[in-house]
Amino acid sequence: MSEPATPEPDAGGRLSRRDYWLLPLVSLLTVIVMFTITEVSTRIAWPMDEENVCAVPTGNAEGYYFKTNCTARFKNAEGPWATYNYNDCGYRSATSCGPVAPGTLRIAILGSSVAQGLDVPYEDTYYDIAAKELSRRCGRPIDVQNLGKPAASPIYAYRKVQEALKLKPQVVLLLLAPFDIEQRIDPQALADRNQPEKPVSSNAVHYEMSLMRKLQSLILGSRTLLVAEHYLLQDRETFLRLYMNYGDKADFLRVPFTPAWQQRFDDMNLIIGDMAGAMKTAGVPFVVIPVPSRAEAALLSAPHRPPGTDPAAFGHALEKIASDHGAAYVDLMEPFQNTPDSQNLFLVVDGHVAPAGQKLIADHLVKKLLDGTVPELAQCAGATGSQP
Amino acid sequence: MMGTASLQFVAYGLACAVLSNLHRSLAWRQFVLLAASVIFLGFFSLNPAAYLPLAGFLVFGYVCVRLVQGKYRRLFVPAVVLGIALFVWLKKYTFIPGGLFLQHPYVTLGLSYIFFRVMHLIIDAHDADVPERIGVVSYLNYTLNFTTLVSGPIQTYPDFARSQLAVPPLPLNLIVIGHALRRIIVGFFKVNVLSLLLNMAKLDALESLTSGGPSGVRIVSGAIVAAIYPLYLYANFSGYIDIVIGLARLMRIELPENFNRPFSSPNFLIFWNRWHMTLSNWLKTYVYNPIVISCMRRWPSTRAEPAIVASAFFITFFLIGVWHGQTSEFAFYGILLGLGVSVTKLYQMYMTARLKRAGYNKLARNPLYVIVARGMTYTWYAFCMLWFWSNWSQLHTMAAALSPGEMTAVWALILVVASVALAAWESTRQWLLSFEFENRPWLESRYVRTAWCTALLVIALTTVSVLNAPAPDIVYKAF
Repeated sequence: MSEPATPEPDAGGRLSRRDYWLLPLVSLLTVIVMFTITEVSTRIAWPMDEENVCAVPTGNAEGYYFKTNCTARFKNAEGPWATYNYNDCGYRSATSCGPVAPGTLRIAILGSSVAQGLDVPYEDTYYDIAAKELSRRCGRPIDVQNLGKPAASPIYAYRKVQEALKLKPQVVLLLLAPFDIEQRIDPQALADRNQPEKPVSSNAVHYEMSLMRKLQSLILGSRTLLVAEHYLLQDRETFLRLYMNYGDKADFLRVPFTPAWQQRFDDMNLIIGDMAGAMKTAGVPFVVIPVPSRAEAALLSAPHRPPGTDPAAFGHALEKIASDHGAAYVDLMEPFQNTPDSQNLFLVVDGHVAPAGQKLIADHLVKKLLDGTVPELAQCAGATGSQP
Repeated sequence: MMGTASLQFVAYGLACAVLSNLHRSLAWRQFVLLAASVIFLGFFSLNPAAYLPLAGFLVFGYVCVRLVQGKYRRLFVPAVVLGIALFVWLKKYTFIPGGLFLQHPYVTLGLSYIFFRVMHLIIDAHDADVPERIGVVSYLNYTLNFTTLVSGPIQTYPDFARSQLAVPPLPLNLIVIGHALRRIIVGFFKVNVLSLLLNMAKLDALESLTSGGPSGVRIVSGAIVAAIYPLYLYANFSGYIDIVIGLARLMRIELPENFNRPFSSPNFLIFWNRWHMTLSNWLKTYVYNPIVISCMRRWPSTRAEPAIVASAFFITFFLIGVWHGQTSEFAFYGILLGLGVSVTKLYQMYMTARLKRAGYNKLARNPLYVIVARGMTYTWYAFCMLWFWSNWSQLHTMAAALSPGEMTAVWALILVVASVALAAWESTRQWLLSFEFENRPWLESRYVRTAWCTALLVIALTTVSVLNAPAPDIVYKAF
């Protein structure tokens, strides 16, 4: 705990010959033993299995799809084990994508991993919680068809619009997080968004990993490092300091937007505009829901925000786009702002919304869906049902 | 800007040590130390004008030392008074009207420690305790030494000269290098891992305390908030001292120790002999001893002795508080420290008179008495430190979160946990040191220390790399 106040016992002596190799060996062995012990123990205590046996490569830009009527079970190191049941259309939904029974209301969801409720058991996802609450309030079954897919770009969501409309939903939800549009959409892909998917070159997929790359991958993939990050970055200020070090990646938090981010919003304006147009034609209410990232939540909770930052800027930009095209909008900033330390509602390293955050989203979504946006649900607004 | 215990600082120090050892001549080592110190200062402002007040203070100090050392011994008192006044003015103590301060921003980094060094030189030059004529380069190296500039330790000039000006220089063999590196690694771990974790725990507890919640949670949070700061400060400050002692030794300079297991102290007086030792030694030499001696001369009665000693302690430790900062919180901190030491001293004198010396010594060795006394010492220090790390407004917020009963429970909890935990620590330490290898405690063997330091280094580097890498974000998975 403290240092000796007396001189070192052997400071005046000589290093014995054996120590020239023994001391470095002790150091090396210490590193190996430490790495092995911590890696093994963290892998036992924080198991992770992210192999989705239901994912099938497509060979085109879509990347992969989910096998129909397939069940996968996997786990992020920070989250609980979760079972993923893919229905007869390959959606992560508890019910069939076939026609619903009379009296049942249907919700279709578009988006990426956040929309799909990745890393969370089905019963903890925002849409299952919301569906159960809506069903309780309305006294009729609510069916959810989730077309969301991890790593899906907004173009993918756009391509799924007709598929979603064929399900004859009473409402379509589009969930978008900042990282969904962080990768600039390829202008050609944007222009070709109404064309069939083109196959991708197989050359891009296969490459040899160099030894250094393998070593880097081993270190970066270390579970010990992940656990260390998990604990150290729970601290809001530390996380924010590091996140704000990003340049373009974090620019959605800075106002005014950079030209690069403005371009991304312009792209979204096109995509959401087309989606809203299709919904309007089909007569289905369309709701745009920006989901905060952990960085936005941390900034919302911070007592002092760095100058020039605005955690609500991303949401406001999407709100404007949605209202310009007559789509409805759910502002999730409010519940996250009203929850102290709302950055704790996310998995620290992985970044996805944790079960507590899913519940917060569900509660707010229910309120919004009952406010008249969906005519069939408006009648349930006054009903309080029996609270669990 | 370079953090004072950061990886960059350590790398800078190591680079300076390598340069310093390229040639063994005194002139080279003096040149490298001066250049390293000036460059280090240069990291804190790019505006040369910002250094003028500091430079002025250094010039003032040097002129005073030379004058007092020479024919102008009568200038001693004005020099000391003016030195203190300059320090108070440059540090912008809040009792001075704001309009009197320099209005442009300037560097005061290390001024508090430079002040001690300059005052020591003026006083010892007057008392002829600094025999040789101090050259400009030696003076600047002594006052600006980058390894001790920011937070000490406070070294006396003769002590500094003994190693820095030694010809031939202090030996530097593999074993010494090993020990120096060990100090650097241990210090780096304390600052960058231990103190970081303790600070995070404190901030969590503070948030939990002030955000309401059940009484039990608030009591535990309050206890953590108050009790953790001394540990945090110890890890941070002693870690920094470990680093600079190691770096300086690699430059063939021996710095004094500043900590010696302070939390093992069974009373507040012994605590201050083990905590920030160079500061308490300085004040003992230049404040406490002169006060006691002059008062004893004036009032030689033995009946006056307790009052004189207690008052001298109070004044000395009050000054420690005031020296640490410019606001009323630090003055109050000084009052609490002064009360702690003077009451301890009066208690010791009273008990010695009552039980006789042998009786009191027997009592002071009683294991249960030691355990409780150690816990009380820690608890009192944690209480004093509240005024060190927070301000009146924060104190009010914390106090408002607890009822009087809960506040009592907080301090009772700290006392009990500190007593038990420190006793457990002492016993464990004794037990571990009882295992011997080659006539030395096994824990102190070269091999165990090598393994230990390697482990600390790996943990510290991992932590530093995590805290300097980009924050994680959603990583799209390719299924």
